Amino acid sequence: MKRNLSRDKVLAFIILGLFILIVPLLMTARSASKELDTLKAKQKELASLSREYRTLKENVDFVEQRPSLSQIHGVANALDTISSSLGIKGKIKSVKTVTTREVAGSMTEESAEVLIEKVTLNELVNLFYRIGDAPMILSMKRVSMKKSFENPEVLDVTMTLAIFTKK
Amino acid sequence: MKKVGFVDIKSKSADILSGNIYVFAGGPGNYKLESVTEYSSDHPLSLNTSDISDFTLSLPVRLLNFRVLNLPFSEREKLQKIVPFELGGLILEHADNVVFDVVVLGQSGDRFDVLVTYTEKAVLQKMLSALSSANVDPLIVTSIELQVSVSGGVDGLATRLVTHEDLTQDERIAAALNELRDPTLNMRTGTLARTRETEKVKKKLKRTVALLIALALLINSYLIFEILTAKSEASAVKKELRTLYTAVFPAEKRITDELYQMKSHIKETKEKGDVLVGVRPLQLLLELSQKTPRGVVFNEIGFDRGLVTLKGEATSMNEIDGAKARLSEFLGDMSVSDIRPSAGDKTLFTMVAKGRR
Repeated sequence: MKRNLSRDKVLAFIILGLFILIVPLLMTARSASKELDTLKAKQKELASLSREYRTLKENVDFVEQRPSLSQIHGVANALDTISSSLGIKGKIKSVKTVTTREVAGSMTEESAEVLIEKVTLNELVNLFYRIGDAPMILSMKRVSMKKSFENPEVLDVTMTLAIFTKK
Repeated sequence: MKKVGFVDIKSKSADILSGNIYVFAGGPGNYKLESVTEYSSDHPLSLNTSDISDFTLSLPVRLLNFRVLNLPFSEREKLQKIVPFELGGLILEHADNVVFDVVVLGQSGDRFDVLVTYTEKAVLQKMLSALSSANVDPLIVTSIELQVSVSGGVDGLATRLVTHEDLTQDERIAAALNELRDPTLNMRTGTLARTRETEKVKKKLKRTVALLIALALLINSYLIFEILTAKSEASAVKKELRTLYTAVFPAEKRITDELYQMKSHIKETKEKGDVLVGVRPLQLLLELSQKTPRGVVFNEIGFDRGLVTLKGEATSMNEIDGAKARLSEFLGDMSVSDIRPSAGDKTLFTMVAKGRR
C-alpha cells in the first residue's frame, strides 16, 4: 500500500514536472522563433543594403578612377581647358578660390566660386556636359542660374566648382 | 428501469448452495418484485443476469457465527478496529481468517451491546466463487434471517439465532426489500470486498495518467522540435548573413554586426560620393524642359547638396499646382512658398524640393 502510494506520488510528480516543463520550453520556443524572425528581417535588409552599397560604390569608383591630369592645376586651369572649345571663355567673369582641403584620405580638394555671365542655355548645357565628362575629378558643389537682368534670353550663372587631385 | 437481484441462500451447508433469487425493479426505496428464480449451485442458472445491475447475497444464520461484546463505544469505525482484537480471544480461528461485521444491539448505561457476526473467509470465498460461476457477483453480503432475529430485540436473541424459525416466502421477500433499503450488515469487506468498481476506476485512472503523460510528452517534444528547428534555421541565416557581408567586404576581418557595419559603410560611401560627385544639373534641366507646363516660367534655378530651388512665375495658381504635381514625379518632398503677385498680372513663386526621387 505504502509502496503503491509512493509510486503514485512519483507518477504525479513526473506528470506535474512534464507539464511544468512546458512553460520554459514554450518561452524558449517563442524566443527562438522571435530571434529567427529578426534574423530573417535582418537578412532581407542586408541583401537590399548590399545592392545599394554596390551601386554607390560603383558610382564613387567611377569618379575616383578618372585620371588626375598632372598638367592641370586648380579650378581656373581646369575650367580654361574645358571651356576653350565652347567659346565662352570671355563670359567667365571671375574664378575665386574658396578653399583647399584634404578629402577621402588621399585626395586634395580645391574649390572655387565661378561667375559666368550672359551664357545661352545651350552653352550652359555644353559646359555642364563637359564638366561631368571631364578627364579629371571635377565636381559642381553648388549651381545657381538666373535670367540676366539686361537680356532675359541669356543666363548669369554662379557655381562652386571643386577639383580633386590625388596626392 | 434499474433491476437488482437478491440471492437468498437457504441451504444448510456452504458446499452446495441453494435458494431463490428475487429480482426487483425500480429505484432505491421503491423496489417491486419482478420475478423469483430458483437457484442451486448444482444446476445452471436459468435467470438472465445481464440486465441486473447489482446483487445482494443473504446467508442463512446457520452458516454464520455470532459473539456478543459489551463495549464502551458504538461508532462503526472504532468497532471495526477493535473487534478483531476482542474476537481473537473469543474464537478458535485466527481473527485474520474470518470476515465479520457488527450490529449495535442496544445500550446499557455507558456501554453498548454489540453483535459480531462472522464467518470464515474461506467459506465465504467458496460461496462467492460458486455464485461467480453463475455470473453473480454480489456487492453486499448480509442475512435476512439475522435481520428478523435482531428486529425482535436483545431479549431472547441468542435463542432466536439458534432456533430460528423458518420464514415464509413472503416474509423473506419483505425482509429482502428491507435489506435492499438498509442492509443489516455487510461482510463483503476487507480482502473479500468487491473490487470491480475500484478496478474500473483504477483502469480509467491509469489510462488518464498514460494519456496525460503522452500529451505532456507530445507537447514537450513538439516544443523541443520547434526550438531545435528555429535554432538550426537561425544558425543557417546567420551563416548566410556572414556570407552576404563577406562577399561585399572580403577583406574585413572584424565582423560583429553585419547590418550595422553595412549601414556604416553605406554612410561613409555616401559622404564620399557627395564630396566627389557633387550636383548633376543636366538630367534635371532636361526633365524640367520636358515636364514644365505651359504658362510657367522659371527665372532662377539653384542646386545645392540635394536641394533644388526653383523660382519662377505663372499666370495662375492652377498652373503652379499643375507644375508642382508634374515636377513631383521626379523631385521629392516638393513645397511651394513665397507666392506673391508681380507686375503684368502674374504670380511669383518659389519651389523647393529635396533632390531627385
